[in-house]
This record gives sequence, C-alpha cells and structure tokens, in this order.
Amino acid sequence: MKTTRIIFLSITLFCLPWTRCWSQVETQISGSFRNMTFLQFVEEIEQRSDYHFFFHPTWVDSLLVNINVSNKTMDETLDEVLRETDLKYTVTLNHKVYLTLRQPIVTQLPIDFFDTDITPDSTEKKANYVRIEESEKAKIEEIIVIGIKGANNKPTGSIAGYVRNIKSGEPVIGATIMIDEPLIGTATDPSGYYSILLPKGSQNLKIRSIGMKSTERNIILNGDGKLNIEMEEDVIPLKEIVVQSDRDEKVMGLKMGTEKLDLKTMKQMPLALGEVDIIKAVLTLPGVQTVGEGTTGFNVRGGATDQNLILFNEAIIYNPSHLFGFFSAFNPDLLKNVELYKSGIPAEFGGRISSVLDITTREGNKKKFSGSGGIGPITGRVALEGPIIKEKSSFLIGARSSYSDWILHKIPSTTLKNSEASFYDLNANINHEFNAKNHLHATGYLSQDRFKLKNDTSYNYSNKMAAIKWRHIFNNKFFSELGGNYSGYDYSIISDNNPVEAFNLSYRLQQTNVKADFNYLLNAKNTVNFGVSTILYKLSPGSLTPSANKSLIVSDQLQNEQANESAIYLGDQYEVNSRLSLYGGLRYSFFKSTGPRDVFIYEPGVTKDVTTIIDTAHYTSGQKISTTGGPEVRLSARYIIAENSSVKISFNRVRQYLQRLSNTTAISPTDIWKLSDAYIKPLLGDQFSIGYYQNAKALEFSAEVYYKQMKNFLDYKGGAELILNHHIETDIINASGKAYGAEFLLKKPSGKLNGWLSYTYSRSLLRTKGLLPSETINQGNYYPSNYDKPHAFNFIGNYKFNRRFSISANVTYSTGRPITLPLAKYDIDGTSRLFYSDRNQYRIPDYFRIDFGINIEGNHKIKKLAHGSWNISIYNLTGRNNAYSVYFTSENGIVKGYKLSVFAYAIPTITYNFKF
Amino acid sequence: MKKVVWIVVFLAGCIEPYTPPEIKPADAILVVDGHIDVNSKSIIKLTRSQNLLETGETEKVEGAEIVLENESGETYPLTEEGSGSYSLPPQMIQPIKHRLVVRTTNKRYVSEFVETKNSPPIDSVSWDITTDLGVKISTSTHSQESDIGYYRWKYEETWIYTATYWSSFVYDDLEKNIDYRTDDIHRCWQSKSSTDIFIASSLRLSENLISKFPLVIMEQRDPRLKFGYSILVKQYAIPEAAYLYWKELEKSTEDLGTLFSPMPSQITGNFTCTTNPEEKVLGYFSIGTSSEKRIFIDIQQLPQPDNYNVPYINCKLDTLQLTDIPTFNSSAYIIIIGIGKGTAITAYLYSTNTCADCRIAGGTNVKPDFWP
Repeated sequence: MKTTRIIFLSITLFCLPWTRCWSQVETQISGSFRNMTFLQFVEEIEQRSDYHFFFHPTWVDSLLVNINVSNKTMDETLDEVLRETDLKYTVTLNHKVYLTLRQPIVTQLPIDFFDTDITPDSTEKKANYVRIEESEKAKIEEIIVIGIKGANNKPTGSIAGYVRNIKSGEPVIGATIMIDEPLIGTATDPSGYYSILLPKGSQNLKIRSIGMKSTERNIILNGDGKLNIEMEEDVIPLKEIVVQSDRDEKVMGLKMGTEKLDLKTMKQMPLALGEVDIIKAVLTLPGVQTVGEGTTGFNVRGGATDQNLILFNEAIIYNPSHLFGFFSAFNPDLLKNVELYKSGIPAEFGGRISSVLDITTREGNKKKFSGSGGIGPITGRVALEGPIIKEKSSFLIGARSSYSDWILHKIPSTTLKNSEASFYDLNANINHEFNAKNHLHATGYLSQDRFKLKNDTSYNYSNKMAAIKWRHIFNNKFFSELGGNYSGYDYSIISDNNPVEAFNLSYRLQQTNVKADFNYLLNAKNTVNFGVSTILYKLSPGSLTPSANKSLIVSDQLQNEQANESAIYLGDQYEVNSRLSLYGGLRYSFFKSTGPRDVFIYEPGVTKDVTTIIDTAHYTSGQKISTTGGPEVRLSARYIIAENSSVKISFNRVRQYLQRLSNTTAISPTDIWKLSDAYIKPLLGDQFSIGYYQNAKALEFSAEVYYKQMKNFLDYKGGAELILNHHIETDIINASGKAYGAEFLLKKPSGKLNGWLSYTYSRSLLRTKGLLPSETINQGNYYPSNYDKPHAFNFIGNYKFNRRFSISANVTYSTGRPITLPLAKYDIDGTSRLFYSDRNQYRIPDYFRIDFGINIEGNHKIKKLAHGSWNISIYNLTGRNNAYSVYFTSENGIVKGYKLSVFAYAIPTITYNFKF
Repeated sequence: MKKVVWIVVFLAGCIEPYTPPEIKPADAILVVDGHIDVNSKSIIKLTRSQNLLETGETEKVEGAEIVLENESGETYPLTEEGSGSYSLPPQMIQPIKHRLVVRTTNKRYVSEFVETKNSPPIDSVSWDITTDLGVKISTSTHSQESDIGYYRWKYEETWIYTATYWSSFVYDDLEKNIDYRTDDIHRCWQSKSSTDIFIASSLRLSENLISKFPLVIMEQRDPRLKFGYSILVKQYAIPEAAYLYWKELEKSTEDLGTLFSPMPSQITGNFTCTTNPEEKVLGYFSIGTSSEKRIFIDIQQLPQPDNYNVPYINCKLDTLQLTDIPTFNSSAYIIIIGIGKGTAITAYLYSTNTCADCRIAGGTNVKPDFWP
C-alpha cells in the first residue's frame, strides 16, 4: 500500500475564504477503470495527474472501482466512484483529495465566524475552525489542531464550545470534559457551554455525560480556539439504567451531596400511577425522605418540605404536585434531567436552606420535527418539538391532563359519584441561537388542579411560571447569563352548599425575579463566577368573599405583603494542584419588607397576644417596614487520595425569607406561604459535611456524613388558626432544629445488571421553647420532627435481557415516622376523649415496599410511523399495608385506633409511550 | 378536609383497626366534667382518666368538695350525689365571672373565672330529605346580644322500635302457669344522647346567626325512621375560649385519619392544680343558661324504603307442651301465642326474650311524657 496515506482530517486550511476556484485549473480524467480496488484506482490517478489522495485505508478496502470516464472532472469521477458509499470527498485548490466518512470537510467558514471568535488576548490573525461530524470512531481517531503554533508564548491555551446532542442539536448539560495528565476538567453549563484552560501540546480530551456515549477528542493545542463537540445518544434506551452520574465527576468533581437523575433513569424505575414522577424518583436517593405516600413534599437531610428550592428552568415552582400529591407537576416528556443539591450548595443558589432541586427541560430538536407522549391509567400526555429556524431555533411544547373524573365516577359510591378531580399542565419552551455568542431561551408553564367532592366545597390551585434568559459569550473565558422570571401560585376554595354561608377563599403569591450571572475563567487554576439577583414578592395572603347573593359571609381580606429579596454573590473555584481543589463562595442576601401595610405594635418583653397590642404603625406604599439579611458562606474542598478516590468537605449557610405555614403533616393545598417581616425572622440553616468517594471497576461508592443546624423554624401554639389570621405573629413560636446523619451509596452504573443500593442513618430534631408553657413543646427538649426516620434503605435495580426487554425493581425500607399517641382516655360529657403524649414520642410501623416494572421497547426498525414502548409496573408488589398514619378517634363515645394506608394493595399499571 | 380520605380509598387505600404497641401508662388524671346550667339542676362529674386499653368503668372520685365561686367571693356549694356526681340546683347568680373550685383529700383544683353566657332561643330545628332520600336534621339560631356568637349543641334522640314477636301471654313464676299479658313489651322508646362535639360560630358572618347547622344525618333505611322519631336539641352559648377548647378537642379526637389531618396535641382545659402546678387536670368549666327545642318527624312524610336496616336477630318459635309448663325457663324465654282447636289451647309457642321483649335492647316500654 505504498500510495496509501493515512490522512489527518484536521488539516489546517490556510486559504480562506475558500471558493470553488479549483475548477478553473481543472484536470480532465479519461480512461477505463475496471475491477480495480480503490487503492489501485488511486495509484493510477496519482501517477497520471498531480492529484494526491488522503484517506483511511480501512474505509475503502472493500470498494471496487468499475467505471469508464472520458473528459470528466475529478468531481464527476469521484461522484461516480463513491456513489454507493458513505464516503465524501473534498478537492482542494492544490489538488489534494480528502476522503471523509459521511460528512465532507467544510472548506468554508460560517459567515459570522470572524465576528464571534475574538478573544481578548488573541494575537493570532486567524483561528482555526474544524467541524467534526463524522462517525464516532473517526472523530476519536482524528487529531484536531487548535490555534496557530507560535502565535503566542503562553504555556496554556483555552478551548471553549458547546457540547451538543448530535441528533437533536440540544445542549448536553453537565457533560464533563477532562484530561488525565495533568488532571484538569470542567463541565458544561445548562446551555451545554464549556470552557477550559489546558497546557499547550497534544492532549486527549475525554467527554462524558449521562445518557450519552462517552467520547474522546485528540487535540494539538497551539493557542486559544473553539471546539464544539457532538455526542451521540446512547441509542438503545434500555441499554442500561443510567445512573452513571458523571462517574468521574463524583470522584474528581468538587460538588458533593449532589445527585443527578436523567429521564432515562426515571423511566426505567417501576412507576406508581403509570407516570414517570420526578419527586418519587428523587425519593429513592439517600438523604431524601417523605412523611408518606401520596405526598409530594419531600424532606432533605432533616429539613422541612418548604425548605427545598424547586427550580423549573431556573424559576421557582411553589406547589410541585397534582391531585393532592399523587402526581408531580412536571410533564416527564419535556424533562431532561434533575439535579439535587443536598449540601455544598454553590453561591449562585439561595433562598431555601435544605436543598436545591434543579429541574431542566430539553431544548427541543433543532434539526427535525418530532413528538412523544404516553397514555397511562389516569393521565395522558403529549409533547411536540422541532426547529423554527433549522439549526438556529427550536420549540418544545407539552401538555398533560388527567381523565380521573371518569375513574371516580366508575366507583359505586355516592360520595365519589358526585366528585370531580382533575388537573392539567402546559409547557412551552423556545430557544433561539442568534449566533455562536448569543442565545435566547424562553419558558412558560401553567398548571391547574381542581378537586370537588359531593357537590360540596371545591378546591382549585394553580402554578404559573414564565422565564426568559439571554446568554452572551464575551469570549472563550468570559460569559454571562441575564434572566428574568415570574412565578405565581394561587388557590381558591369555593363552597356554595349552604347559600347562607357560601364563600370563596383565595390566596395568591407572585414573585418576579431578575438576575445576572457571570462566569470568568481567570486562569488555568481559577474559575470565578459572580452575579446579582433581586426578587420582588407580592402576596395576597387570604381573602374571603361571599359567593352567593344570600350569603351572610363578611368579606375579609388580609393585608397584602410586599418584599424585596436581593443577593449578590462571588465564587471562585481554585485548583491548587492536581490533587487539591477548593471552592469559596460568598453570597450576601438582603431582605426588605415594605408597605403599604398596617403593623401591630406589641408591648415589649411579653408574649405577643391580641391583648398586648399597644399600637398600630402605618406604612405607606414602598416604605420600609423591616430589613434583615447577612452573608452566606459556601465553602468546599476536594482532595484526590488516589487515582480513583477522593475526599471532600463542605460548609454552607443559607437564609430563607419565605416559609410555609402548615400544621398538617403533609403539604396541603391550602397551606400558605408567609414572608419574613418585623416579627417573623428568616430561617437560617448551616450545614457541614464530609464525604469519601471511590470508583472501583464497575462500581462507585460514596459515603457522606453531615451535621446541620436550623434557626427560626416556625412552630404554632395549640389551636393556632393559620388561615385569615390578621395577627399570625401571636400564634407563632420560633423553634430551632438540628439534623445529622450518614449516607452510603453503592452504584453499578452500567452492565446488564445495574442500579444502586443506599443506606442512610439520619436524625432530625426540633426544639420549641417559648416564654409561656403554652409556647413550649415537650418541656423545651429536643423532639423528633415529623419526618425523622433514622434508618432508610433503598435498592433500585435494572436487568436488561436484550435491547427490547428489561425488568426493574425497587425496594424501600424506612423506620416509621414519629407520631403522637394517646396515653390515656377520659370521659367528658358522656364521651371518651383522648389525652395525648408529648409530641412525636412514638412511631408508626416501619415502611417497606417492593415495586416491580417491565419495559418493552418497540422494534428497532428505522423506518416506522412511531416508536412505541410499554411499561408495566406493579407498585407495592407484596401488597403490604404500609401505614400512612395511625390515629385514634371517638366513635359513639368509644375510642378506636385505626391505621390508614394509602396504597394498601399491589397497584398494577400499564402505560404506552410513543415517539415519532 | 375530612373528605380527602375518599380519594385515598379510591386509590385502593385502606383503613384498618390498629392496636398501639405498649404505651407507658400515664398517671390517672383528674377529670372535671360539667357545665353549670343556671336555670336547671346541674351535675358536675369527677372521674379519673384510664389507660388506653383499660376496659370497664372509669374511676369515680368521691368525697370531694366542689363549690361554685364568683369574682366577689360568694360561693355556692354543690351536693355530692354519689358515684362521682355533684349537683347544684337552679341558681340566681350575679352577672359576673364564676369559677369552680374542687377540693379532694389532699389537693385543690380551680378553674379560670369564666363569664356567664345566656343562650338565645333556638329559632328552629328542621329536617330535610337529602339527595339520597335520607334525613338531615339541622338547627338554626340568632341573637342580637353580641356581634359574634359561639354555640354548642347537645341533643337527645328518641325513637320507637319493636321486638320481632308480639307476646300475648305472660308466664307466672309463682303459680307456674300462663296468663294473658296486659302490658306491651313489643313497642319501646329508645333514647340516646349525642356524643360528638357540635360547635359553630358566626365569626365570618355579618350577623350573629347560625343557619341550618347539621346535627344528625340518617340514611333512608335507618331503623330510627321506621315508626316514630323525635329529637330534643339543647343549645348553649359559650365564650370564645370554650369554643376553641371544644374545637381543639374535636380536632384531636374526631377529625383525624385523613391525609391532611392536623397533628393531635395535648389538650387540658381551664383547670389548674393549685397544690401542684405540674399536675395536669382535664376538663373545661363553663356556666350559663341553655335553650332547647323538640321536634317530631312525621314518618308518613318520608319516602318509604323497601326495608329498614334493622340489626338481624335469629328469631324462631318453639313449641311448649302443656306438660312442660311448670319447668318453663321464664328468665330466658317468653310465651308468644297459644295454639289449639277451638278455644282449647293445646300448646304454646315461645321464643327467646330478645325476640319478644323490646326492653332487652335497652329501651323502655313506658311512653315518655313528651311523646304525643
């Protein structure tokens, strides 16, 4: 094969801009090439002309040439020779012929190329552009030259670009890009953008992400440049349950206490009511608890349900549930992934002390129109996506609705026959890429729930959200995101059964947020991010109005609440050496509640009570009522002990200015959110944690220990009325809390059998000590919170028989939650009543559940109308009657104990999902 | 939110009886149960709490001294009537605050001073036929005396029921023979007092008015609606604090077992132990006048069901030969009817007393005075 030359596809192209000028000096080819191998054909041509061919010999080893040409151009000849193959060719001015697989070499740069590639320290006249869209193998084999040799004498060069899904053009979020020697790595941000500073020279970049095939790029780094990387999806969806939560990131990354789940993982878990549910998936992670089934609220590391920052495309969702918590509020077809931060919360997040649940939707396919959906026993859903301007902008819309009314009406019970329960949600996303430096992303979300029983009281609640984000890249090292969003939550309760008492009770919360975030790659060792954010809150905490003419209900309205929460932050990630990496962040948050509002002034030094009100202060619109705020320190460090193991340590403080008032165990739709004010102090949470991480062969292991303190937790006096209370401060007591625990997680991210196993030991304790006995709970001692479940064990397993058929199982065990039990009974007025113990001194029976699921994919023919798949799940396979609560009630004067279970039987569901 | 439990049931939920694990027994706590009704004889009961799983009668506290005391120090002692009951005849009292003082052998307990509340008359007790053809009884009241009214109701229902058989004969235990029966043990009146807490307030209304507050809901086949039904509703006006106490008590013992139930808490009342402030006392003292109203439901006006949901008793007749009459077990059986040819009785038919004597089921065959 003496004439064969192994080509470097990444030849630098100096003749720019490139035109088809070569045609003017065209050589004509004539002759008969019969039954020749391609190599022989090339030899022939090269001997007869000054053309030189560059290609990989393996691509052509089976290609026979059988043509007869006379006075044909090289183009025409090659068209004929390569007609039946995947090979593309490019003929250059100096008569060089490059063969490539599938994609021709782009010999022209995009029009805006020069506008977008100016780096501040750029001394080179031109940068190099290489487009890589060949087969995976080819991409790995090729060597990409970035920058111009000798352009500057700095030891490092920066590379930046996007990591995208090759099929849909959507960004790949959280993909890691790293080199082994020395160990340097980075991850893509929510728009798939990355930038990294690397030593000049030959480097092997490793790119990994959940749900995508890992890939590599060989580069020769001469200076600053761009490298966009396209990753292939793991084409066979059932290949593995993707818990490959950034295998390397877990050990090498600086983040700790974070868990990431993507839709594929969640899809393969057994389903509860026929639908993928984010919150239920999150509950299988160590350190996440719930008070019971059928509740969407979740507790992270001993925190309350209102202490989780639930972000949906960066805007807050206040009620993440449908149908009283049996469904989560997010349409699974639109989701991309979910990331939960349990500790080491970075400085850009604030406002909730326990966790951040960052939910991201997909961007929509930029290349072709497609859709997906599903039909389950209670809900139906559909999502459509496609390009608006091909490769530039895309849309993604989704809708989901229940048809559960129908099911309620099927039940032979008069109570249920007249009941109605329904919900729907709508999503719309639009993305537009103006150019490589400017992206716009807009999201809208609306959810609505309605529930009415027996022609009586009806409950309605709704979430609304809109967000817009503009992303601008200044240069390889510096980019920004400017965003604005609106979140709203409202509910109403309407009762018109008794015309005299017909009423409408409503509540509304609105928040508008404007923020700017910046990311700056200072040098090879420091990455700085900083930003500002301001939130304007407007609450209508309750209004009662008569809903019928005859109604005698007196209109009552609580005063509106207004406030402003602002924050400024700065964080720096510092790579001290190849082993030690540090992150230091400081967030300063500031909260101001403003008028118009009348505020009661209470006698100082005594318990606040209606009788101790001494005055009323009037504040005009915009006037400051009270201010609070302070610094929030976020620190973390990672030390790599050996190649596959590391230890991390972190501390974070978070302030929370908005709390939910609730004296029920589960989140109820009528719970109200209350802003901090002159009397209600912001919640303050500090967490310290240490973790150990190790990868060994196919397994990943992590262990984390944490200690947490909470101040100004809200508790209530006995008999406190939380709805329409004009002086809620008289009914509130401040509690403090502490939580500690250890979490162990063992994952097998890939293989025929994959999944994870976790064990958590945790405690969550509260203390309520007021001035009066009525304000003190359990004599002022620490008592277990409602969600204190010391032992929790989770197993998620998936076994793939073949590409179309897999089974999965989920095993959950936890200690029963604490409850208050009656100690004694006594007679009052001829009826037995109960005398209760101190709060939460007993527990309901332990919780144990097994779920089982089967996934059947449709055939893998490429051409068909739609790709369908079936999911058959059995929730609570053993039919165990897990207690939701235990309660005692007086019936006809006799005290009886009961155990309430939510899913007391095995619940089978079958869901059909489709994609086209 | 009580109804939310239904959706749980719809999702294959389940409610099962539950016996708690061993609970550390609490010390027996003194319970002061009672309301002083100014215009009738009032009873205050003193008992002690029981462990949860304990069965049998509650312990009565005897030999205590109870006095009603007003703010100016005047006292009205109560009379011990035995088995933990202490009574006070109707009193003319001053319109100031009163409290109850209880003295046991070594301890003294006092209630808070509470104001006297006079109940306005009951406007109406009415009944309506519900959508599923049952009966709903509700009460209405109003008052001009104060802006906000807090009310509590109790009621006593009385209804007629019958035994399966009508007995024409009675066995004479002394003579060991059979006579014609002169009394009626087939038809009885059963009375039952309310056990649940019924409270309401006009807090959110523009007038001190309660409209159709529901007290009793019966399904169409309810046996109480078979022959005759009457209800006596008793209404108390209560102070706000008492309303909150009853509401809490209701929440902690009745309104539980749903997904969004409030968490139960320890509720004591308005008594304290002055001898040992740490000691808990249960009960709520209130004082005032009451008003009452009785209605009858005309069974003829109700839609008639095919059958009534009467508890099933296995009733059958056995033959008593004349020779066996002297050995007849009259404590367990009752003669129903005689059989024979012409006027001569050759044998009797008898059945168990539960099948023939309505009094066994707890009612009385003496027509109450109020029954028309």
